[in-house]
Parts: sequence; C-alpha cells; structure tokens
Amino acid sequence: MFEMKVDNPCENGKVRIVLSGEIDISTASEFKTRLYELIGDGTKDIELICDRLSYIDSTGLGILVGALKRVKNHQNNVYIYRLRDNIRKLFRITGLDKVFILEEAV
Amino acid sequence: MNGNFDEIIIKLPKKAEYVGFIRLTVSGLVSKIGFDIDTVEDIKVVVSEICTRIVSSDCDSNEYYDVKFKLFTDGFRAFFKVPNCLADNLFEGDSGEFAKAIISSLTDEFSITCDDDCIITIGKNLGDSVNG
Repeated sequence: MFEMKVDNPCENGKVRIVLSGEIDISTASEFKTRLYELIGDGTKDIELICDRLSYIDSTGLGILVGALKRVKNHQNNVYIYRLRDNIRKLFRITGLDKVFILEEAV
Repeated sequence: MNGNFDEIIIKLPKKAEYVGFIRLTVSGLVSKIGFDIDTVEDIKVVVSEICTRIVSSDCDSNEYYDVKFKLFTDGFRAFFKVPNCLADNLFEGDSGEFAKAIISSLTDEFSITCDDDCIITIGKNLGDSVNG
C-alpha cells in the first residue's frame, strides 16, 4: 500500500508531498511518475513528509536521487522530514543522509 | 555456521508481486532461528533488495530464479541463483550501488559469483542478535 498526497497550498512556495506506505518494486513506477510530474522542470523546492512512510528500497532511493538532480539544476533542493528510524538507517548506509537535507520538524 | 541445517528451496517467477511473498517467508524462517526483531527486519530488507535487483534486471528471458535457504542453529545463509546473468546487469546504476551498500552493511557475508549463472550468497550469524 502506497499513497502520495500533495499538501496544497504550501505557503513558502515549495511543493509539499506527504508519503505513506511502502515504496518498493511494486510501487516505484507510480512513485516516479507522480513525483517527476510534480517536480516538473525543477523550479521549486520539494518537501517530502515521511512520518507515515514505512519502507523504501534502493529503487525508491534511486528515484529520490533523480528528483534531487532535477531540482539542483535550478539551485533548488529536496527537503525530507520525519524519516522513521528504519528508513533513516538506509539513508545512513547509502550515504544519502549527507546528500539530502533531513529534518525532523516541518 | 557449522553442523546440521535445514534446507528450503523455492523457485520464484521473476515478477514484482512475489518479492513481498519472499520477504514474509524469510521473516518466518529466520525468526525460527531466534534472531531479534531488528535483525529480522534487516534480513527482510536484504532479501527484498536482492529479489528486486533480480526481478528488475534484464538478464535473459528466463522467467524463474531459485532461492535456497540454509537454516543453522547459529545463523542462516541464502543463495539466489539467476540463470544466464552478469553481476553488472544485476547491480547497475544508482539503485544497484545503493542495494549493494545496504546488503553489505546488513549481512555478515555477501558475495556474487557469475559464470553462466549468477549466484548471490548472503549469510547472517546469530551472534548477539538473539531474541529475548
């Protein structure tokens, strides 16, 4: 079960997306399509709210990196909020905790 | 890991919908050995990563791969046999590198041997990861 909801309007001009469920090989395609649609040409910062995201695999992490590259082309960034411990562990193992901006409070 | 072991062999279709099945299966198997809950979760992640790489790879048109679990009293090993494959096909791109990092970090043993077939081997010792 995977859900992705846009939290509009985001007052600070960023695109805020609430993720929940699992991002794995079964749901990665939907996640990628919808995320890249929302990012568009990358002219806005992206906020991902993840406290209800229970799992993400390497495919999902690869999609996030692709999204980051898009927004970085326009000097924007991807902010990731409230990661669960099991997912934070995967970010640490892969070194992505140094690549993304990970925050607790929105 | 030495001594007697139980062996479980599963032939799986290369389809995404069976990755969840194998995650649940390995969870039940390694819980039986006595791993604590955090380690069981780690093993589920590792097995899921390997199966995901196999299913999403473009290794020939073979529609199945084999998974063999060996359950010891002090740990477990798993062997994933993918016909007609190369390691580069299995772990390509950013996602492949992330998968390798995750698998290496969460297991005590991880190797890939490719000849005509690719055999991915992982192992985890019970060590201090004992439930209770």
